[in-house]
Amino acid sequence: MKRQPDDRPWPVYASEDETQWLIVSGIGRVASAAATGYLAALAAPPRSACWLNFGIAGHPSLELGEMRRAGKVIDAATQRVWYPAEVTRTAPKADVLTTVDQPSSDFPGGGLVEMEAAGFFPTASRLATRERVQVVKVVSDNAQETFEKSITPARVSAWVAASLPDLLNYADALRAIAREVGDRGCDRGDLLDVAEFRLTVTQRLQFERLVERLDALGGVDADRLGGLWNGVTSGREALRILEGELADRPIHFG
Amino acid sequence: MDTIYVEEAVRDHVRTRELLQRFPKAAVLPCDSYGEVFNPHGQDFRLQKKNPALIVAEKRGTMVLPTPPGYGIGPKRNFYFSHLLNCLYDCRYCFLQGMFRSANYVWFVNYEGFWSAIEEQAAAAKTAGQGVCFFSGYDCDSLAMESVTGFGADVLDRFVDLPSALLELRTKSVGIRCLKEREALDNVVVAFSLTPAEVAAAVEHKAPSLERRIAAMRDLAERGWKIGLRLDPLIDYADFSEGYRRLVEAIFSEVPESSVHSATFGPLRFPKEMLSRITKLYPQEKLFAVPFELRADGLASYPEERETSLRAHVGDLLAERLGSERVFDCVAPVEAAENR
Repeated sequence: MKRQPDDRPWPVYASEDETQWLIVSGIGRVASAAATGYLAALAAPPRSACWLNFGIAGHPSLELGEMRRAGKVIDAATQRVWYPAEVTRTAPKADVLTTVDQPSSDFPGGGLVEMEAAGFFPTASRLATRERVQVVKVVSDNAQETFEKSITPARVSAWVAASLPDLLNYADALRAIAREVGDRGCDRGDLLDVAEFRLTVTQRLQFERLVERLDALGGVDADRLGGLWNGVTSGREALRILEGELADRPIHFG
Repeated sequence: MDTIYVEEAVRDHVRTRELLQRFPKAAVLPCDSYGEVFNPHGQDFRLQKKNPALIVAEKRGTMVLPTPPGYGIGPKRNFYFSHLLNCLYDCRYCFLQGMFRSANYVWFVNYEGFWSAIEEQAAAAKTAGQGVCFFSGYDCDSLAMESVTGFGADVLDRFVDLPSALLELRTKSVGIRCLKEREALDNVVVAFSLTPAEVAAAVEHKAPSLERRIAAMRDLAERGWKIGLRLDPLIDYADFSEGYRRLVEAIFSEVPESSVHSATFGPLRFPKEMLSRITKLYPQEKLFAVPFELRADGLASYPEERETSLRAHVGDLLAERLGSERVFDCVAPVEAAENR
């Protein structure tokens, strides 16, 4: 990933093809929510994109360096709760995660404790469904080694480096999910390239659905359909033609 | 099971404890109410079908619900109930994918509540001198998750003591051990959902093949269990007429007519909004690409003339074998489910 120009409010990195982005939000829920919103505006990702918050967290009993996914996010300040839904089989094991506003040696919730997820999750889940918004943390302190003693830049770097293979594996699985969601529709806007009529927004939606249905029932011959537009001067007429095409197409199985 | 959510109220329930012992590696996460996990907006049912979590919950409120008028297999009073929400299988026509926001399984472990409600309704029907039937398997498959829930074994135990009430266990599962391990009960119908083999292969993902279901029916029939044939929803396709003829022939080549308690069939119908949600999940699914007609009752279905002809054809095929008294033209309780 390449660092983006320095005049950004947060450090931002992007892959060469700009399909993967990273923003370093800094500490706290507000920073996390704001950075998520900023990245959404900057990168303008497709609606099928996945969002992953990665960072460090305390845990009462797990070993330092262990990685966990948040299966339940609790905002300690408001007691609001979210449940990220996991659909891959490569995800780190789930645990309860509590977001607090001040560093703490207590472990409310009995699971992970950190300072960002309750800002990130509700923001990112406006941009994607809950399966595509995930929070993954590496344990940086526990009941034996509290954060004051445990967390140093060098140790954090070492834990993150050790976690990277699993994290990248998980990120690959999320990218596959994003591709799958992105591929659901049937993009046949090309059918309109040869048309001389205009469609209203509603007609455009109807047109796309009709083409999708034709596609499902055996495909659309672009050349032939292109020819059907000869002499068609209105969107309504075009929709009627597509409906006619659909009328006698039964489903074939086997 | 990778992740199991457990409602606090049933954390110490015996069925919860047994479950957690069986899945020691699963992440167990507490929740106050299953709805916190199951109901929020912004979930993708289709994605969740890849790896559903299990939510262990307590069923509250009304435990058994009346079926819509006209739905039944003989008795005057008809109720349905669900110990599970969602299904192991992934049938493309299933209304659950349009009704629930989440594909996670919700398992209600307080079976005792179901038994009380069933006993109450059974007693009321007996007092009124009317027959009563309880249908299991509309928000789930009755037997597909038997190894996790043990529901089949438990419900059969209960109906031993309710001879005046009829139980329908609706399923596509061939996991029928809980039935094979005991004597057949006269007041239980094991009802298999069936579509022609080519339809089942194309749209009933993860479900046992038609051939295996028929073999399971034969096995149960040989052991004295009453079999229900459930040909709904009827799926329209190019080879509908011959496909359903072959289906009926395949069934009766293995299952004696005398073992069949009843046969039902019903149209493919969805409330308009439900169809819209399902279509958005599967925009390229051919089942939803054919024209649907919006009826006055708000349900979308095949054009009326076509639907009538499908129903007549399948009704005739079944009546030829069973006589009309064992054949029921039913509308599944999807509308009731949507409105509850």
